Amino acid sequence: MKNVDRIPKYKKIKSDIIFPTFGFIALFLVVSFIFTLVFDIFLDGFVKLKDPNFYISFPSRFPDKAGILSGWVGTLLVMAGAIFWSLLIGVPAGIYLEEYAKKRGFIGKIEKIIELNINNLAAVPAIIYGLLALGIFVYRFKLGESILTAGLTLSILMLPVIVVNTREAIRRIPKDIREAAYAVGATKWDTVRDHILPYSLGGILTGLIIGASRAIGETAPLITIGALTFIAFLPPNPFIAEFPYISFAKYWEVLMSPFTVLPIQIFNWVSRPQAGFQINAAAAGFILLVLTVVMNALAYYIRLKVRRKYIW
Amino acid sequence: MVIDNIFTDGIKYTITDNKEKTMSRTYEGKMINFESDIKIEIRGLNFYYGDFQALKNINLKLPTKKITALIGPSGCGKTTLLRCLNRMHDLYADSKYEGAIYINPYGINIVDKKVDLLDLRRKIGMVFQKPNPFPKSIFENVAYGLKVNGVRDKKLIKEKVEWALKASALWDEVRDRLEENAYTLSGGQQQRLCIARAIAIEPDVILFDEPTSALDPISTSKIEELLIELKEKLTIIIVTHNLQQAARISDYAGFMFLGELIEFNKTEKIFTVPEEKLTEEYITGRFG
Repeated sequence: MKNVDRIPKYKKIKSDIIFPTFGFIALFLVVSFIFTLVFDIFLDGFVKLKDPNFYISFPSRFPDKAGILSGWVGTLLVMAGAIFWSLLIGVPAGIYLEEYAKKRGFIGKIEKIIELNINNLAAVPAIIYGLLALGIFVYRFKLGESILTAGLTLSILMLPVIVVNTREAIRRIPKDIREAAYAVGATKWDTVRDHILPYSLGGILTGLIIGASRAIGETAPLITIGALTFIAFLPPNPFIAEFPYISFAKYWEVLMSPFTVLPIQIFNWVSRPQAGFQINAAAAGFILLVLTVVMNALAYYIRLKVRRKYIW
Repeated sequence: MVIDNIFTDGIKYTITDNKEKTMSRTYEGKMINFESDIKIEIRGLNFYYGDFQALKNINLKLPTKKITALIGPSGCGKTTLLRCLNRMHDLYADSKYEGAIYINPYGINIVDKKVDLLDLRRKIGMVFQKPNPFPKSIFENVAYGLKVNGVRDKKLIKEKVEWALKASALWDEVRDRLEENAYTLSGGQQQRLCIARAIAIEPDVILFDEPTSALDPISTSKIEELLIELKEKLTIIIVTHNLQQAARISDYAGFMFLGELIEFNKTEKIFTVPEEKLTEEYITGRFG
């Protein structure tokens, strides 16, 4: 009783004021950083952003004529590859770890080590993945400094995120549903195909987009594998008029063609002395930012839509 | 009752005939002769979760086309025993069976490693404690068992779904909304949908794991009526915490305590003149 009386009343009130004030300032700082950044590059690049030629021109020596055509085409193609490969490998890996992995014996131990390290993989600096890709895809498999190599490289970067998100999505499915499927005589594959995969799709797609929005801004690993910084042509158009509407030889050429991506284009422009290129860099940066925001909005939308369908 | 004529024309024979043959060919099939009124015979069954022995030397004969209730306090192993019968424990690591469970008329040992689990689970269906329909349409929920068992004929599936829904007393409530998500149904309806899903593939036995513990009294009484109708054609084994329920619907009852089967007898005997003192104490509510 005595002790309680001795605590001055203002002390309590004081601590209740100090922390929220600090928290508010911190929050204000965070928001103002982001806001300043977005607003600043938008204003800087505004001249270029409203110029339609900017989107359909190749890079040039002259800042006024330079555009981001090869940049955004490259980014889209590389990301398409990265998404394809990371889904192809990441989702089955996640499903395996959750549904099939044995918890005992020698194989179980290996699985345990892999499981523990997947989270660490997400924290590996991107340039390390670039070196890995240079060694494996460029030198060992001789895939060249191509769109295919870039897609594979970024997919390695995205893999841990996708595996972890796939596993979390699967873990959210109640075990009752699994048992119900097994109880009517479904095989493990039936259960995975008809239940596990469809119900976890929302989580998988969210993970995919989180991974992709990280990968879309990566420069280091792509420079490591030898992406060009100046490129004045597009990959060939693989689509043809007659059936089957796509030429596989041309498609292979697309995969094998050299490329550049938006972040590299920005990096290239920023390092030039002319003021005009700074404007271009700001404009391209804003486009990249918009792409990332759109992806995140998509992730949010999917989370809202697909997950609401499966409430347990 | 709708169940009558349809159970006889048996989808059992349309669902992959050869599976039956593989089952009867296992060697225990020839060794065991059953009295026909016994559906499942459990002999010296021990069950372990890792090092923990959950079931101790269970010997039990479950009669055909009767409702058998398993009662006992929490943690006594009744659900564990129930889940041994369709090998649900196999989904999780660290489970070990010893002893034998024979099912009539196939004569196979359920807990044998070589048993075809898919086929076993088609013969012995299960309804769970919490209603667990798939988040799909009502129709797909009932049709799922048929689909995974290789029934491709759309017309047959449609007939079977209608039949199963009628047999589980749900048809009138859902006939116009078969394409709606099963989660739009009420809890009691969901549980009857789960029963429909279980009987659609015409199992010989259905295991009920406290099917009404999550339901209101009206839904409960509907499901109890349903069970009594179903026992004309099926063997039913039900685990229940509700002693009144066991007394109301079951023909036989087994009392379990700490992983052992203490007493098994006709329900009226268990509830009126139990032979064991422990049973009497549990029935009269002195513990549990």
